Amino acid sequence: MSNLFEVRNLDVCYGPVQALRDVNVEIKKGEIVTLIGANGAGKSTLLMSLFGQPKPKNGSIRFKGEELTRLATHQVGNLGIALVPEGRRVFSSMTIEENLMMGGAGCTADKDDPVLAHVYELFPRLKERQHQRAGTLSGGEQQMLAIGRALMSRPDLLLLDEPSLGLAPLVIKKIFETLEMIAKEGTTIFLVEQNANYALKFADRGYVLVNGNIKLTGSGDELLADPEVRKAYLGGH
Amino acid sequence: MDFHILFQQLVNGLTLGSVYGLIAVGYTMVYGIIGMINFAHGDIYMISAYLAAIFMALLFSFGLDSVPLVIVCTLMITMAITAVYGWSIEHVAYRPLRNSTRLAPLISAIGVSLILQNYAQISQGAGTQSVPTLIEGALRFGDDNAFFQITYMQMMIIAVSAVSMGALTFLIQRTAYGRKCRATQQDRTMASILGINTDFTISSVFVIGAIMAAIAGMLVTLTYGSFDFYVGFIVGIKAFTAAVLGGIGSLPGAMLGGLILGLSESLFSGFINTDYKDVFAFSILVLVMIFKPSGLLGKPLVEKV
Ligand SMILES: Nc1ncnc2c1ncn2[C@@H]1O[C@H](COP(=O)(O)OP(=O)(O)OP(=O)(O)O)[C@@H](O)[C@H]1O
Ligand SMILES: [Mg+2]
Repeated sequence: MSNLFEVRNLDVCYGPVQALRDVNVEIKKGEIVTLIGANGAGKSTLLMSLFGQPKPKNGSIRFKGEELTRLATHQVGNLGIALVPEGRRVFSSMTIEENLMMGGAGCTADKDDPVLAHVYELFPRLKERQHQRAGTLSGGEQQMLAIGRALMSRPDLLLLDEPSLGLAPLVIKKIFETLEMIAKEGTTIFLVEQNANYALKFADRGYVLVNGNIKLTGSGDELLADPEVRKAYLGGH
Repeated sequence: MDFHILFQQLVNGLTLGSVYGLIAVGYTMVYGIIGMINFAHGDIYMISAYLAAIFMALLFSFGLDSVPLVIVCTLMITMAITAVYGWSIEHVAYRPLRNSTRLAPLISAIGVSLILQNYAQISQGAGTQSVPTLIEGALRFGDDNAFFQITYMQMMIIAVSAVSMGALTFLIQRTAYGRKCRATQQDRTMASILGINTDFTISSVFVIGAIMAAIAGMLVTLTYGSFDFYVGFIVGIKAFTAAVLGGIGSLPGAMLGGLILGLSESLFSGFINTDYKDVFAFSILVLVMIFKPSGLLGKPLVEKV
């Protein structure tokens, strides 16, 4: 089966600073793949470079056979890729409902969109607060909103950048349960995490990013059992 | 206290304030979406006054003799051409500077302002232009010694402004287009990741600002009948003041700021002194800036969650 998404020999720089070096990633349709790495490894850079933020220096990023490096940011956003960004980036002065409608294809979803009802089913908390401004939500609720917003376009590929960051263990558990449900519906997921334990248990396969370079790859269980990974990301038990 | 003077000045102030509000919308929306003060906006208003005068004369000379029809057609044409000005200026003078320092587009805007003024002066002459009064008459209240009046022109200004502002508010608050604008304003990168063509959204905001200025330009030209290439400057400063007063970046703020400025100017001239009305208007601005730097309805610059 051909890849839904593939990154080949990707180099990304911020001015003189090289953040990614010769990165290769491939994801097949329906897979759950994770990328783990320490602070500053370049995880967010990889996700943002799909959208040309910043534009890669070398290499190619293909999604459904289309070369993304040639497209403008908003064109990538309309191809069926949705991002749950680092720091959630919800539109704080808009209501929850408006935030979700922004996520719909072409940003034109309306109130009776069936996908909206589905997102409310996944996150009942969001429905309770649909007319509240997003800025008034707690961190966990904002994370749910960011995920819900990304789901609104029924993406073929869902990208998540550290959805567990700063959340209580119980909330993280809840979010991962929901991600399981989303994955079961057939959405391909690429999850970037520092929380290696959760991420590797959740994913089929994983990559380990160290200083902008992929150091290790394997199935979730293989990486969980790998002594290097255990030492660096799982507190060495 | 002379109540007829009070009422008269309230009517005048409301009219003036509506005009300021219409123009202030252009400053506040552009500032909201890309954080720059479009110093050329007042001159867009000036251009629209010329366009209105030219097309009114043209339509009459083509033999169109129904006044309402001429006014409506002129308004449409003026809005359309002024919109093209707004769109072109953004493309030529501001967009290439989008990612440079904050000061660069500001200086570019001052340049555009000078170019527009000189262009109008050279092509139309430096003298004051005038158009004949098309709509005369007024509603009078009170007896012959103590009355106040609302001219039909003032009614038209207030009504057209109210409708335009209402339509704009609906557009921004209730439609998908408005959500795209607000999203672009809050987080441009995230908006484009969601698939919004933010460049287009930004251009469209310039177009909306220009259209609102064109409505104001047309209405004022019809009311006062005279203007020159320099009118954009003082009206622009006033409208900008209104936008800052109400909280720059806030749409209802621009409308409120316009009304407060218009009312305070006319009440001050009616009861105290006409020569110092501008001093009074700007003093209010200074006071608001001291006690509420973000303006009456403005949000503090940083809104962290
Ligand atoms: N806008 C930027 N300008 C310059 N350097 C940047 C920029 N963004 C990131 N970097 C640098 O690129 C490297 C990778 O950053 P990135 O944000 O991708 O790391 P990360 O793996 O997502 O880290 P974290 O887990 O802390 O989110 C870091 O060294 C960072 O300092
Ligand atoms: Mg990151």
